[in-house]
Amino acid sequence: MTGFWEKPFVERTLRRVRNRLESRVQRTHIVAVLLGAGGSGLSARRKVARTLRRRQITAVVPEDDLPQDLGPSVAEEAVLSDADTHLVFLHVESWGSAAEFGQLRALPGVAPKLRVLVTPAYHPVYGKRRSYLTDAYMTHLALHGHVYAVGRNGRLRVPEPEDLIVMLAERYRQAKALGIK
Amino acid sequence: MKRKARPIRPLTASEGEQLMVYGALDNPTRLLAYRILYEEPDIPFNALARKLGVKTGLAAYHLAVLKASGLVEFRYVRRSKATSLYRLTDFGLRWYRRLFGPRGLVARERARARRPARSKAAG
Repeated sequence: MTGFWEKPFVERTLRRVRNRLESRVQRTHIVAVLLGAGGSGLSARRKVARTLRRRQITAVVPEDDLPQDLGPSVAEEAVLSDADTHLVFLHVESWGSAAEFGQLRALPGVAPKLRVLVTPAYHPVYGKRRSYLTDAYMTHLALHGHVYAVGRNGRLRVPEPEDLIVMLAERYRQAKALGIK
Repeated sequence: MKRKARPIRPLTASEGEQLMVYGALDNPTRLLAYRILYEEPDIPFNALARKLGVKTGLAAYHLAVLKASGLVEFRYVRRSKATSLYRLTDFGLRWYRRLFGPRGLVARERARARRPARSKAAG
């Protein structure tokens, strides 16, 4: 191995430079994971990931960024529960993503990071639909907050998923850099 | 009267890039992966996970962060089953030299750290 690489020194140096930079620019590095439906949902997530990366927020789309060498459930659990993952956005727009919500809200290491995006009709506060799913959203809302109405709606002014994700991720890293989080 | 909070200025491109790279590398497992990928490009995922000494799920996570930061890329090669081969991107290589090259950040910091000791010895 190359002689210059003394692990503790290198780690300390990078940490020091990072801390100096973060306090100067008042932002920190955060990792956001984007979950949701496949198909057009995946294209939308890729678009959001590109926007976040342009803003230097590390956005992980599991379908693109995780290797296919291991099962998605093994990889995703490690991704979501790691302390380095700050935000997990889940746009519920298919039965698959609804099932994913059911699974993730029960994981104590993941539930507090979960930001759930639902169509206004299914939002437990603003929507009119009542079902097992809206009930589960209500529980999550009461315990952790972070259930957001997104997409098109006649009277209610709600943001598009992309705008909401970028807005929340940006403010989160500012707050974290200022020591609020 | 309450003072108005000063708005946070936008990041410059260079600051943003540094923020992402230092954030991605400020982790012992990711730093080790970065170094291994520099020394052994096109390494299969499982071999890399073994070298990192962590479970495959965790290795996948750290590599995903490096990939999402633009430092690392992978491609699939179908052998008996799909295998991902990892390597540094051009951006990752450029940053490697910037950090660990002969006149890189670490070399400069090391020289700076040694300077007071030498002057003391001379005195």
